[in-house]
Order: sequence, then structure tokens, then C-alpha cells
Amino acid sequence: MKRFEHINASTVNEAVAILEKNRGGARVIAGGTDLLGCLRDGIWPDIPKVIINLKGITDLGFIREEDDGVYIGALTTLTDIAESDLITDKFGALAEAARRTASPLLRNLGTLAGNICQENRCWYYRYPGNLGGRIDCVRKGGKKCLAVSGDNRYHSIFGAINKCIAVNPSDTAPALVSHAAEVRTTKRTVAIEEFFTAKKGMQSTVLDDDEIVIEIFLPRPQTGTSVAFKKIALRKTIDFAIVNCAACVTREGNTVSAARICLNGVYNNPYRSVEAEQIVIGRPLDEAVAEEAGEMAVANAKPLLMNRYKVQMAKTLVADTLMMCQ
Amino acid sequence: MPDHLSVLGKSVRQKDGRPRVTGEAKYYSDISLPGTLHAKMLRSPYPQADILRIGTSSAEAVPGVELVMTHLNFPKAFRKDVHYVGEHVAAVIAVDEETAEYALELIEVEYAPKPFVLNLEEAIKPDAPQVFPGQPNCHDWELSYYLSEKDPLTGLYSKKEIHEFHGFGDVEQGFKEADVVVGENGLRYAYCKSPAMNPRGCLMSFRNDKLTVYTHSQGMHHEKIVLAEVLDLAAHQVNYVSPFTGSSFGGKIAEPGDFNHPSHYLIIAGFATLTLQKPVRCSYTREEEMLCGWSRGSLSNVKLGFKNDGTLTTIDFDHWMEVGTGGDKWTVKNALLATGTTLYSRNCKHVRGKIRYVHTNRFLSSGWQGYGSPEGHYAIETVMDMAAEKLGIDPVELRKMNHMRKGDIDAGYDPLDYKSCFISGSGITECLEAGAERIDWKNQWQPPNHKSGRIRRGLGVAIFCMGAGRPGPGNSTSAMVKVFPDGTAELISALADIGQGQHTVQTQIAAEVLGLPYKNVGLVCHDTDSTPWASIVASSCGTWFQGWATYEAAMEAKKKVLNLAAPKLGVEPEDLEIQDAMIFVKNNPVKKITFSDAFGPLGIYGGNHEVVGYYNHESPHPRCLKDGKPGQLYIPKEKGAQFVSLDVDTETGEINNVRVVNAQNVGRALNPKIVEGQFLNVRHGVEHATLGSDCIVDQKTGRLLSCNWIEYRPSSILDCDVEPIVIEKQGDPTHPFGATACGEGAACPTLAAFSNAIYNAIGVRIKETPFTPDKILNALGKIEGKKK
Repeated sequence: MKRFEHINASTVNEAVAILEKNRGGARVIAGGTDLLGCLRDGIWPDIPKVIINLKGITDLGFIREEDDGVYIGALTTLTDIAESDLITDKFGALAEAARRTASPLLRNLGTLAGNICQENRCWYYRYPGNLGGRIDCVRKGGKKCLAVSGDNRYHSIFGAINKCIAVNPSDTAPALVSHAAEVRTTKRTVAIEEFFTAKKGMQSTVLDDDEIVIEIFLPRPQTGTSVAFKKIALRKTIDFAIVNCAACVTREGNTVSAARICLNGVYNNPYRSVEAEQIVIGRPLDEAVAEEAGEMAVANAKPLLMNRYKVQMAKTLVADTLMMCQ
Repeated sequence: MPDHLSVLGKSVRQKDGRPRVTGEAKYYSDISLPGTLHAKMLRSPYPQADILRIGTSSAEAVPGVELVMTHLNFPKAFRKDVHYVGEHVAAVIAVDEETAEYALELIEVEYAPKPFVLNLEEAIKPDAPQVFPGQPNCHDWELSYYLSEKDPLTGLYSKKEIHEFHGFGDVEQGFKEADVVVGENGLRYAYCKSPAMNPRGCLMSFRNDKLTVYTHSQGMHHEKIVLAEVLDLAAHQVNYVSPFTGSSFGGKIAEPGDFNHPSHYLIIAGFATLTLQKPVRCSYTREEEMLCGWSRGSLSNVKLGFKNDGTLTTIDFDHWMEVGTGGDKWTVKNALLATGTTLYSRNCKHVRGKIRYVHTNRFLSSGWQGYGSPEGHYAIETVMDMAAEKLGIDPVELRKMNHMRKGDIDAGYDPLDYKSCFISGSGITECLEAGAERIDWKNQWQPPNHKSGRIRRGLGVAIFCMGAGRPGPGNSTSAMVKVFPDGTAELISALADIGQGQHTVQTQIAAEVLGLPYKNVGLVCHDTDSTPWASIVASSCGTWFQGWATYEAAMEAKKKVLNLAAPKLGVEPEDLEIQDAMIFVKNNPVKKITFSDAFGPLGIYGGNHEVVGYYNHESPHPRCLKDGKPGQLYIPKEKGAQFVSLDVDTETGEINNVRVVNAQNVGRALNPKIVEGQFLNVRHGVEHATLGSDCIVDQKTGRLLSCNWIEYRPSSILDCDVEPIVIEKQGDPTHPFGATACGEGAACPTLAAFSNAIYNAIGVRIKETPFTPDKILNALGKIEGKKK
């Protein structure tokens, strides 16, 4: 790993000030479960000179209920979320997503903000530099994407952004989308779907160089709402999802009045399927409707040579998670 | 063989369990010496290339860099050409890792890339690019010791010289005799990696004319001798230190003399330490470790002939095994274990095994857990299931009819010279019955066409046999036992504990023989300077092979103790026995003395301060001879049956609710908990059946995409469980306490059992491992056509 300066920040303002001073040359670290891997493998052409440790900021780890909903501090660990009765009770998709992320040790370190800020995954992009040099792919500003014509079994089934087909791997992201969460940063409040926009090269979010996530807000669910999260991974305990899906369904009487359905692992960003939601809204939720929604969710799929099976998985997961909301 | 055991047969605490779990145990990577330098390697971006030029002057000029090594100044450590992506091209030795990594970037290398081949099917074509120019990629297994002709005098099969025909009997005749012929081609077992936790590496220092090597080793003494020769040192100048191995699953054997063996950390650190006269560490990252220790990777075609009643008459077996650019090619022979050479030797008298190893421009192979045998079992045991269906015979029953029995010929062992060998015990029928009962085979097993619905449960079975020791001549191992006047002892043994519990079991054996409580026997295993030669830990021979050395050394020590005690008790030594550290007269147990009494008075100038027993066990042990006849050996083998039950989700291709039942005849479980742990350990090593662990390589560049434990998925303890059924068919003559072996056998049947269970669930046979959802969905026709 390359040498860098490690600075402990004790307040958010201090961290932001250091980011501003080192525009583009600094990164923040909390759990570090993703960042350290990226640094160790030397995948980035420009190595950060400064790493700012946020773990010393004392007031960013909390789960707080207020009238309008629940606020979760950026440094709250996945373990804390998975074990929270409040989150399990009211925002079950998030609790389940946190529980299904990585391993106990990683969940004890990894934070919610870190989980939604993690870098996208592609084994060409993340190929370690010490095994014959890093791969300068399109995501790093290079000319070629090796995955499109190479081994793309785990890549996007909904096309590319800026020629890149690396997928967003977060388990909590689709759950947060289904819960209609908002992300509060040092600069703004942004709806969770707007937060993920892998348009800026080696980055999976809208965050500026000098911007830090402060907290995540989960609006109080309407009565009659049920949620679900399901994940398909090869290794059941410690693995990124091949495909995951979260759904949130609100019913008035027998019919669905609102629905939010989000897949991940299938595209550069978490993939919310408004089309699938439209199928469900206004109808009673049964197996046929759920299957129809699944079909609709993948109607625009553009799978590659090796990942057509993910379309079948995504379709099934949408139907399954909807049925779990029944 | 004693019936009553005091220390053996009990699940005593692991001898080195405490330091391991408290973190007190020091692995090579924990050891730090003042002024240690760090080695980092520059690795090839090309799968096949000649190195035209290397410029090192800029790297050498970096402050903190002490040495830059290439083929120009260290031709024994580097090649002028590379054969896989990641092969080492140069090394920098510097004051810290960061400086070394920085300097690596300044080394200029000009390559001439050449054509390459990345998969087995391509590599065996005659016009494929040659991995090692001038050598074909595909090699027939040359050393065919297998049965060929009957000895007219004994009626036994006898040795035949190296010959092209691999097998025995007459396969064509066998098929003529068969009523039913069942075959399958193209069975593929993925190239897989031994999932050792601690990556390879070492720390060396050279002081006072002595090279100390801190590393992990499955065979300290062998590595020491070879390394000394490579480095041009006298053997006494090298001390190899390896009290703990950091796990290996058998795949971390080092052969510093073989360039294609993944032992380069030893050579590079060795030359650097001697050149600079300073300590040098060379330890691999996880990604570098992923370049080493691959195995499996086979392609098999199988044809079986049966009588209508299910009697297996004939096996025709075509087998190719990938070995990448390396290392250990001997593994390929073990594919035959599942054929009529051993597992089915009862009825099958015609076997043809055409087996070959194949080079590709992929990563370094080395034998590990299963050592070539799981591949053969996967192919044969899969086709046995297809045969059961065709014959209309229950898969369990078909195996019961045909598996090896005690006294049957074993032609699948690992001889240095061919001898007639016989199975010393089987118990596979008992294993099949116990496993079938546990999984409720009778009620739960239904043919695939009886199933419907989205979630389909499948049951599968496969049987196995596996090596167990190196019984042939030329193999030896030794142990030493010291007994002290206070009634304690120490076992001095270089036998490596790679997690299989040998430090514990060997100490139990010594304690049992000496009549001492387990806690009274200590263990010296630290390094080569303090221990006598012990053979490498491989082929699951610890309990069985080393067990003889420990037993005989302890017996010798005991004899000497009794010789001291006898005059003091006024009887002959034969009249004495030891129990709970007291020496007593057998037929008058009240007449007894302590060890201290027996040893007599001590003084600083003399007295009996210790009694030493030493034994060098040269194979075969006389008790392994069949009926005492030289040239006829009993071989114990690992043997048993494995059952798998699983649910297939036919919409997602997922496999859930996996149950694995492993029933194995271990002769006698010397430490039952360790035996059960071994079943689990083995299952861990082959859990890639469903986890997608595969050597995934970019076909255009040769880069290893599954180069970490995210993309290559060893199972965690939470991912695999096994329901152990330990069968103890006592009386196996080949071990002092009737134990056989228990280290790799359970790895052999797993993929076949999974394959059979998946077929049983969905009615479609998947011919390539791992059994991932994409393959299952594809088999079910659930993947829609080309992209829209």
C-alpha cells in the first residue's frame, strides 16, 4: 500500500476543512472495509495523499426516532442497525439488508454511510495492481471496458453508464430506496435514488470531493405498509449479492396504494423499477400480480453474454419480495 | 492390540489449542527481527512472454533499496521467460514494503509476448501454443504400476514395467461380458485452490554462519535439506522453524528445488539474506497466494459395464488433469482410486485408465486435500448413479454390491515399487447403511420424475476410498520420546500440525504407551535443530505412518524405564506395567514404585536424568504384511459413504438447506472430536461444489479474476456443516491401535454426491462444477434467449 497521511478528525467541520484543503487528494475512512481494499490493491491511478479518520467524531453514531421518522447517524454500524428493535420493527427491509451484509466482523466495523458510499464492483476494475499491473479500464478514464467482451457474469443487465458496467453492490441501498430514505450531507439533503449516480468516473454517488454524509432519514411508514428484502448470493454468509431486491408495499383495504421496488447488483446504480411498481398499484397483491411485476421489472434488461441468468433471478426476486410483503 | 485404552479414544484438549486460540501462537508473519528487510516481487502482465531486457538502475537508486534481483544476477531464482500472469520477474529488497513497492514501479521490462493457452480443452489440441516451448502440453501418466498380469504361482497380479496400457484385464472383453453399458463424456471438475488461511511466506536471518528460516511447513526436515542444497549451504547450517502452519489443507508443501513449485518465497528470501547478511522477509499477499496451490481441474470420460444384476465388470476411464504451469503432477494418478484399482476392486476385473496431466498458462498447481482423487470420484460416482437409474437399482444398493471388501486387491496406492497390496478393512456397507438411515433415504429418496413445484428436494450418495499413508518401501519417519524421573515425558516430533490435530494425537499415543496421563506428556516440535527427521504431512499418514514411529519410540522408552524398575521390585521387566505414572507388578499391583524410585538418586554429575526412546519407522511395518509375507501388504485406506440432501429453487437456481452426512470407517477414533473435526475440515475444502469457487481467468489477457476471497469463495464455518457418523470397525492390523486414516477421504465423494442430489432434484445432469445457479437455470431452460 502507498504511504498516506492519516489525520484523525474530531468534528465534521474539521473533516470537511481537510477535504477542502486537499481537493481530490483526500478520502474519508470510517469502517474502512471497502476503502482499504481499494488502496491495498492499488486500483486507482491517483492515490489519496490524506486519509481522514471519521471514527473519532462522537455524535455520528445514533438511531433516533422523531415524529417524522427515524434518523440514523452516518457512523452507525451495520450490526447496530441489524440489532435495533426500532429498525427491525418499522424498517424491516433495512434491518434484513444490514443483517445479510458481509460477516459479523465486517458488520461490526462497516457503517451505513460507508455501505452506500462503497465503490462499485467489477473484477477488471478492481484487479489488484501487484499481479501484473492494474487494468486501466473506462471507469479509470481508460479507453476499454474489458468486461463487455470478457467475463461479465456478475455485471450490469441494464446497460452501461459512461461505458462502465460495474454494479453497485450495496445491500442496504435498495432497502433504503424502498423505504424512501433521504441522505443528509454536509451540503444538502438528497433523496436516496438521487444519491446514487455513477456518472462521475470512479465514484458511485453524487458526493463532491469535500462532502460527507451526516445522516440518513427514514420517513415514518404509512399504516398498512409492509416491507421485505431478499438476496441471492453464492456464499450465504459472506458475500456480495448477485442480485438483491427490496420492496415496500402500502395497502388500503385490499388494494395496493403505494409501492417501491428496488433491485441492486444489476446496474451501476440501485435499480428502482417504477414500471413494476405501477403494475402493483391499484390492484390486490397476489401471485399473478407479483409475477407480472417481476416480468415488468426486467422488461428493459439488456443482458450480456454471460449474465442472462441474472435476468431470471431479478424477475423472480421482485416477485418473491412482493409476495413477502403480502 | 490393547482393548482397554486410557488416553486414546478420548477427546482430550488439543495440545496446542490454547496458544492458538489466545493468540500466543507465533506464526512466521508474527515474528519480527531488528533490521528486517522486505522483499516484494514484480509480476508479469503476460501469460506467455520472453523477457528481452530488464532495467533496474532507477530502482536500485531509490534510497532504502538494498538489492534488486532478476534473472541476470540470480538465475536460480528467476527465469528469462514467463508462463502465467503474475509470474515473478524481479524482486526488490528494501527497508520497508512501501519502498520496495515504489522501486518495483521503476523497473523497466521489455517483454516479447507469445501465444498462450488458458484452458484444458484447448491445451490438449495438437496445434495449441506450448506452455513450455519444446514440450507438449499433454503428458501421459508414465509410471504405470497398475495391475496387468497375474502371477501364475500366487494367482495375484504382479508388477509390469512401464508401459502404455494403463490398467489391467481386458476392457474390450469386459464390455463384451457386460449386459448394460453406461457412459458419460465431458465431466468437468473446476480448477480449485487450497483455501489456506495464512498466505505463503518466510522470514530468514543469517547469523553465526547459520540460516534460520521462520516459515510454515508440512515437512520441515525435507524442505531444510532441499533449501540448503539450492542455497549451497551445508545442511547443518540451516535451521527450519515452523511450530505452526497457519493451515494448509495439504497445499503448502514447498519444493525449493523445483522452479515450477510455488516455493519462490524461500529461494528469494534465501539468496537475499545470504547476499545482504541481513534478515529478509518475503510474505505473499492474499492475491499473490492465489497464484499458488491450485489443483483439480479435470476432464473425464467414463464408460462402465454391468451385468444385469448390477455386477460391475468393466471401467474405461479417460482423464485429463490441468496442472497449470506447475508443480505437482503426481496427483493425477489418484483419479484411478475410484475405479476397479481400489474402490470397486471387488467385482471389476477390467480397467483401462488413460490419464494425463496437462499444462496451461494458468497458475501454479500443488497437490492438496484429496490429491487427485476427488476428480476421479466425481466422474466415476456420477456415472455410477446414471447406471443405477438405467439398471433400475437403488444407488445405495448398487454401491453395496460392488465396493471393495477386506482382502480385495488394492492397486491404487502410492508405491515406490510395486507390491501386491490388499485392503485391510472396508466397512463401506456399514457406512452406507448408517448414512442412509440418518438421511432417511428409504422414505425421502424419490426418482426425479416424482417431483414438482418450485422447490425440489434431492438426495445423493457417493462412496469413497482414499490413500492413507505411504506404505511402500523408501518411506520413513522417526520420533523420539524422553521420560523423566518425575513421571513426565516429552515427545520430540517434527510432524507438522496443519490443523488436523496430529500434535495432540501423537502425544496421546506416547502417553498411552507410557502409561502416563495426557497432561504428563509434553511436545517438542519447534524446529529442525531440536527434532529428528519426520516425513512430510501428506497423504493423511500422520496417525497411521508417524503413529508407528511414536508408538515404537515410546515402547523403547517404556522398556528402558521398566528395566530400571525391575531390579528395584525384584521381578523381570516383562512382569511390570505402568498406569497413571506408577510402575507396578502385573499380578501383584500393590507392589509398585514411582518413576523417581525407578530412576534412582540424581546428582549434578550423574544418575538417570532421562530415558530416551528413538525409532525410525521404515515402511512397511512388519505388522502391515499380509500373513507375514514380505511383498504382500495390507493397506488401510480411508473409506466411507457420503450423503447429501438439498433443495433446488428452480426459479433462482439457488441450492438451499444442504445437509451432508459423512459416514466413515476410521478403524478406531483415537480422538473422536478430532475425527469429527476432520470430516468438517474436509467438507470445508470442497464446499466449492456450490459456492462458485473456480479459477476464473480473463480469456483475452490471462489475468486471474478470482484472485481474492471475494471472487473465489472458500466456505466459512457458517457455510458448511457435516453430520459425522464415525464407524469404528476394530481390528485393523496395520496400526498399533487399529486406527486407519482420516484426513482427505471425505473430500473425494462430495461433488459426486452433490451432482447426484441435484440430478435427483431436477432430473437434469449438470456436468461441470461448481454447480452454480446459472448452470442450474440453464439446465432447467429458465434462461431466455439472446439479449433483447
